[in-house]
Amino acid sequence: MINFIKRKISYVISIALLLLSIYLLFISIHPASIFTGPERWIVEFLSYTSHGVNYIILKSKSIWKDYIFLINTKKELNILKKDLELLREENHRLTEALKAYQRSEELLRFSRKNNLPSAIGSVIAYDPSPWFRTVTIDIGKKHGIERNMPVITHQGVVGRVINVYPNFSKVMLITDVNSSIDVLDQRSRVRGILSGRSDEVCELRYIKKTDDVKEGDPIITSGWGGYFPKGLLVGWVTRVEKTGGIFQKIEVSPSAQLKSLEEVLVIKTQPELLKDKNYIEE
Amino acid sequence: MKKISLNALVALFVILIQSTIISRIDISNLKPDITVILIVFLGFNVGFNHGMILSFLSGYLMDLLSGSPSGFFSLIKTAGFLQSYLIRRKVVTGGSLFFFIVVGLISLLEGIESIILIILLGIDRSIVYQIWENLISYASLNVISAVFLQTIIQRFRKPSLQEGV
Repeated sequence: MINFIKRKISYVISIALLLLSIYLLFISIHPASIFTGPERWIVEFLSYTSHGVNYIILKSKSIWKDYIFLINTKKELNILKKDLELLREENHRLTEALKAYQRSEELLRFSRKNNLPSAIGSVIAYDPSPWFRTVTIDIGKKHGIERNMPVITHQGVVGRVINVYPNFSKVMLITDVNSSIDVLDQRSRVRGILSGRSDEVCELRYIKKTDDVKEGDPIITSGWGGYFPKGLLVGWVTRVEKTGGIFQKIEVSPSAQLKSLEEVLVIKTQPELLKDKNYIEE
Repeated sequence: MKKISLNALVALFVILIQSTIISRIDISNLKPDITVILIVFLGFNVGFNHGMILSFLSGYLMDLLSGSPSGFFSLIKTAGFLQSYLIRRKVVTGGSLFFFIVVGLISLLEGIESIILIILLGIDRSIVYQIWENLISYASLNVISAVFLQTIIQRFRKPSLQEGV
């Protein structure tokens, strides 16, 4: 038997790995079994390493901007200009720090104004796959983050937490194909479901042809889905088509800059408590 | 054991590059997938067992960091390696051009396999049209990335004694 396995080791490995992949797919259908035991540690390790790589990228960008890019100019400069460079570098660092502070301040002001308990997190990694849209942020269970908590910026809704690890969380963006949010047209109060398309824009579904939705209308959360408080800005209607079928084809551009996310705000309220509460709009 | 650890490190490195640097690239809402280039490279250059384990690992790590269902990319990447390995064995010709063609072909096959899995798993169908519409662009982007990577590698690689002669 052992000799047979040794002779056919390639077949054994390939069949075992393919079966393991299929098994993983099957267990992923049951949410309770996802990411337990060693998988959690792997994700934690990956996230820490991503954090490190991200830090190196940002530092390298800064070094490139401040030194390498200016190397030819520096040759022509005298000692005074070197001093100026140092001041510029310091200024650049301070400006970056100020911008980060302003962004955090804006997020906190937004959170305080709406009386929402929240935590600020930084985006450290993006989804490596070409078809899904998630980001990893540097706050997790230790910071009070839980599954399904809404994630926003001062510009609007970003998505919701789908996996929580001790120090990191995975956030599904509203543009991901698995994302669906119950929303309202702020002007006409027409209700629909906003779904992601793994694209730059989202699709507003189940809006009848007789319903009044126009380009430029702001779309806000309805508070009915159970995850998001009512009245958060999600995006703007960018295209309305009334061809074929009983529903309109409506595209919505997210108001938050999802491609260049840096800091995000996680609303630390249990989704159940958000039901029927008009936190924001009031 | 040493080989497996090394495999895991290589897979980890590629996934980290993909989720931090490559993910920042955005060309018409598409980004290159260097794991495709990795698995084709493995299919061409390493043994069957070694390549199978490494491609499974890269897919599994991708599953952990991605919003995909667990096992989705593990299966696709393992199948991708098998396909590139079989193509390499059946076709005698080698060379860079052939490698780039296989990268394009495996990218197309991965897209089709993704569509099949998405339908089987009952994920929202709108992504199927999204993948189908972008399949050619995605494959072309991966081929361009493979050409770009090869140019960089050749630039930094020292010419061997044989090449000098």
